[in-house]
Amino acid sequence: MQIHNFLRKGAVAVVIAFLLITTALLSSPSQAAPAVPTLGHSEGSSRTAPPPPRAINRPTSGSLPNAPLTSSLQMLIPNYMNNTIQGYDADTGAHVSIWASGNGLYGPLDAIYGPDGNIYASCHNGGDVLRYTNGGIFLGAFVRPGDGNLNGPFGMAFGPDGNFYVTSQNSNQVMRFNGQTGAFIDVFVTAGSGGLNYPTDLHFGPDNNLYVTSQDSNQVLQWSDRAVH
Amino acid sequence: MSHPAGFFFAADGKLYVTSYNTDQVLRYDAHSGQFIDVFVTGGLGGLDGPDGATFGPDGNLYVTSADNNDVLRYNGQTGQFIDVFVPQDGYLSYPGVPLFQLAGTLAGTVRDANTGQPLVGASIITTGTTQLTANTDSTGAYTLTSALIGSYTVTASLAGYIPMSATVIVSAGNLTVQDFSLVSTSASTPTPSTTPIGTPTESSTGTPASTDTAIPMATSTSTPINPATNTPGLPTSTPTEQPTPSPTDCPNPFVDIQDNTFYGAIHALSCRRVVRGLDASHYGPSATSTRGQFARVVVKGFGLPITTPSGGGQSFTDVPPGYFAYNYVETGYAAGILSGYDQNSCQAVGANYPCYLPNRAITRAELTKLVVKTAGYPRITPTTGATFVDVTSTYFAYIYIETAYAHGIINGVDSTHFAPGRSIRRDEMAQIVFKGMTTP
Repeated sequence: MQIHNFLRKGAVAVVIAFLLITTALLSSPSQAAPAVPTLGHSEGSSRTAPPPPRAINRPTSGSLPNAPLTSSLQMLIPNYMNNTIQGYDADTGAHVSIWASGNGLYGPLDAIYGPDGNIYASCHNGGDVLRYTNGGIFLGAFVRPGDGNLNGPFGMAFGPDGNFYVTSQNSNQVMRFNGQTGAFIDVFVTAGSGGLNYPTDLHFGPDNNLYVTSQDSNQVLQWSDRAVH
Repeated sequence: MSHPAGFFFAADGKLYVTSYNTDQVLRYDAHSGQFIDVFVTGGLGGLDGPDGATFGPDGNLYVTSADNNDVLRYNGQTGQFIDVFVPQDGYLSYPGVPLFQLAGTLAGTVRDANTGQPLVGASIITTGTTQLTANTDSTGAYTLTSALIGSYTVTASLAGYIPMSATVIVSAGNLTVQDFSLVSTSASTPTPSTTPIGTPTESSTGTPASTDTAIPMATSTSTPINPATNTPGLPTSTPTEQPTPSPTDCPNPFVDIQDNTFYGAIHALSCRRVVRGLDASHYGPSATSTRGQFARVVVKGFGLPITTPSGGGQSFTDVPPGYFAYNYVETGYAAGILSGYDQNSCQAVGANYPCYLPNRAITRAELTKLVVKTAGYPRITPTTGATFVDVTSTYFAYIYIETAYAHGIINGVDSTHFAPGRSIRRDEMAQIVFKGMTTP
């Protein structure tokens, strides 16, 4: 398989470092607790147990991908190379559906729930973030290509403040967008801040701080001034 | 840690990180950041290029193996290898971060509004996030477990009663209760918009017998309606002004189009049996038109004689005989107005070539081209250059869009943009086809 520049393997990667730029805030674990998973499984705090639903944004366009008429739960897997999100039976692992394809789904790498119960997919090659209902109905682009100069989106999370955060891998940044409208707000983490180099995944920790994997510096970074409340 | 990719904070207070280059999953203390251990050892179970990881509903760890195109499962407590959960199956190609769907439970009771007695065998149908069905039991109760979280329109119906709908939101792990009190048709003053059409003759059948107006559910598609979505964001500027509905010699069966801008077109086409509802009483105006639905509408609307391959053959691998749109897709294909996708496009979505992709949303450009070809308008090329900045002369549907615009069949989304790749709503589809049918 072709080696992709966003996950370069085999390079000289020696330093094993888990570098927390600032640990001061981490010493106060009494801060706001993360959302509590309600299905008895423990995913990352930002992708389980969405906050209470807000008003659902009305779709203005949509599509009907091959979402099944089944009530069985699926494991959804974005596939970077074939531009699909595949659905598998969460119990058996059997292939159920091509959950999403087309509509500009180029190079998907991550899929998360939003606070509205919809599913958001980052398209690394399309430079956008697409939105689907839980049942796989396409609701349109949440972040459109070029919005905020987002370049190579990968990890996504809705922050405790309801805003939407996404890594811009090719520009070594983290962008912030309005969590309900998708409108660009600002560059939340500036290019290379704290040594951020090829950011991949992104989550908010139990301390409401933003954490980002910095792939080419072999770190997980956190910024003392980037807590979100 | 070498080239970390996915990570997550778990409820056990630990941070789990995939280390792409060393084929491991590592654990750290979520508060101190201190390294705890190598949870999944290098390459265990064939792990090659771990990209994303998450805990599943069973408490075990699922890791996508990006360089091996499979998904591996590990004991959530010990990190021991359990199995290859998804093998290399041709569907996975550089898999990213997996997401398990979340669900809740939707339940309630259906009663007679006058007597308060539970109604047995009432049909419950949900649309929206996904389609679910149930029947009320001997106590009038229904339960839908594993309902995906999201917004639903729930409709309760029973022979002899006026159907009733409500919008509910199902959240993760929670029970959402929606009760109904149905009014007997004999005890009410029915109006055309609420009179049940084609209700079952036996109340115990559970499913509406309104087969004449319902789209056959032979497809694997969930078909959304959202009656509550009437105005904001609706692209009313898209099709042109409302035409005079010609044959409206039938009652309007749809409760969700009364205030629609394109009521006349939908009503007229419904009476001509060109368009059908998502069910007996809902047209689903805001739902997206699919290529399969559109093939049916355009063939019926323009009265093309049905033409299918001899011997029951099929032109597209994904439109077999028996599929609801088979006759129409084949007819349109034979008439040269419909076409499928090329080999690469089919393969990209896991379909075998040649494919038609009947469940894919139809775009404004595709629809416009089909209507112009079917209606047989002489092609019009503007002498003053392209009308829309996003439909230039090299665009595949350029001439068709200019022709349709010149005939007043369709407008741009604004004065300079056509948005050719945008999906079409079902109300817009009705309007554009009706305009094409009635405009010389």
